[in-house]
Amino acid sequence: MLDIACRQCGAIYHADPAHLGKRLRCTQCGSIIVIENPPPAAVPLKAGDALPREHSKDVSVNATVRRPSSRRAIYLGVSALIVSSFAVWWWHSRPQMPVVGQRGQVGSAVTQQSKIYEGRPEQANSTARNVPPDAERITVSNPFDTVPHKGNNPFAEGQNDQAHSTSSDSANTLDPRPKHYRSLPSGARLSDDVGIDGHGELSISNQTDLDAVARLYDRSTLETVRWFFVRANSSYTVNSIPQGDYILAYTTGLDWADSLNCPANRRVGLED
Amino acid sequence: MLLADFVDLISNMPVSNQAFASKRSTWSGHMNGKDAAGVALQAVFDAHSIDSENIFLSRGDLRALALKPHLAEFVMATIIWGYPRGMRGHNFKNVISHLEALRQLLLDARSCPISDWTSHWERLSEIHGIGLSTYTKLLHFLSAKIEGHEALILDQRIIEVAQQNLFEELAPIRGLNSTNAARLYPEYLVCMDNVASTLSLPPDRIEFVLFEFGLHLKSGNEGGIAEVKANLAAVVQ
Repeated sequence: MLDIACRQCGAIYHADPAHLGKRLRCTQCGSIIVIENPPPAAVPLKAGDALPREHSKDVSVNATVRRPSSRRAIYLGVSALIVSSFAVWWWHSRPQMPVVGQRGQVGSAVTQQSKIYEGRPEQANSTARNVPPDAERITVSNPFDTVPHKGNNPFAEGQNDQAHSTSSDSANTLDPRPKHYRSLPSGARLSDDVGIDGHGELSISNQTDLDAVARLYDRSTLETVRWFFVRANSSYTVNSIPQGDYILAYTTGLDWADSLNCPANRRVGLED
Repeated sequence: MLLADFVDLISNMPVSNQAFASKRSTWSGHMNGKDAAGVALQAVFDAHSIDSENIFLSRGDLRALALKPHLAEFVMATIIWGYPRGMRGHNFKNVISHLEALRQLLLDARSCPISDWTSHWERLSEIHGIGLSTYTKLLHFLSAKIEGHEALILDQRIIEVAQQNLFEELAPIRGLNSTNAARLYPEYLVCMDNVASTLSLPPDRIEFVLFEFGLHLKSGNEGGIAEVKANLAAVVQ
């Protein structure tokens, strides 16, 4: 038998469990009473009582969540320490920053690398940058950052003896910068990207007055993975480069020649 | 009404995210062939489909495709973006049959600024199926320069906005219509460039806001309303 109380006046009625869900009218006040299971009596918790099972379960779930998160924080801290140590080591042991081997450069970089950069840009393999396994971002800062050029002629000033000795007499025969010349948007590809599922990035900031073409290719297979254009005085970042060991080659010049896939005005860029 | 009143809005418009969805079934008839257009179309769907039937392309996607060397995929993607329900009549078939000529024209436009629009437009007129609307879309995403100005999209909707005489800054191009639009395209670019430089915004943002809102704004008499409110306040006091 179920004890049903009228919510209006408190009168108690008895009902068979078979009548659950049915209704009856209170004879005292006339209100409708639904026959339903009485709610469980609320028992106030005393200090020291165990919590109901659901709550303690929550607590234990929270606890198990918290423990690994604190452990994860420690892991993250240790990982960050290792990565930053590796980054410092890599920064100090990295190869010399690639410097465009165009004639007219001054500075120690030219002195060290002018021989390497004579000839085709593909031979400029001292620009190799290893992709560290953990540091997947490759940033090549200002590979084309040379001596600030005055006016439109990038070689008008800033030549030293070393540069001059490797550059024959072309600096004296340079045409002035043309008013209209062919160019491509920065990032325009000369060939389709190969490998687009990596996490490596290569940022190039071309701070010269010449357009540049950069080509990243695999050191062992010589396969070109990125080949793209960077306009004069602009920057571009290629991304999704797979982990690997690459060589960065580049050439500079003005007035793009589509048929040659290279800057047409070679006199202001690298010579063949 | 002045565009200058909406500088904050215009500067925050998500231009590169503007995207349109299209169905594979709209283009599947052209996708089966082994020709360059069919292969390019298939490649675009493979790269940008969101499910087996639908593709979703944004302006940013088109800009990325415009950097690829061959441009066939770029042409196909731009047409899908511009005509998500398909082109009218035989236009698409004509584009496909002239794809190589169009591609060469675009490669030229990408590498060499167009100094004489009239002669360039004459070259395009040999390619059937491509009108000003489609071609300016292609030029815009290629970052081409026309007579010293950044190429912008000029389609029927922008023409209608200019004709509405809604924005004072667009007064120089009120006379645009579908007949003279190709001839006046450089003047449109000059006008948009002037507005953009006045507002210190990129010109494509101006074009975008005209496309999005140009036909859905009504010039209100804000000054008059303010005056009425001031009078009412005086009466209440």
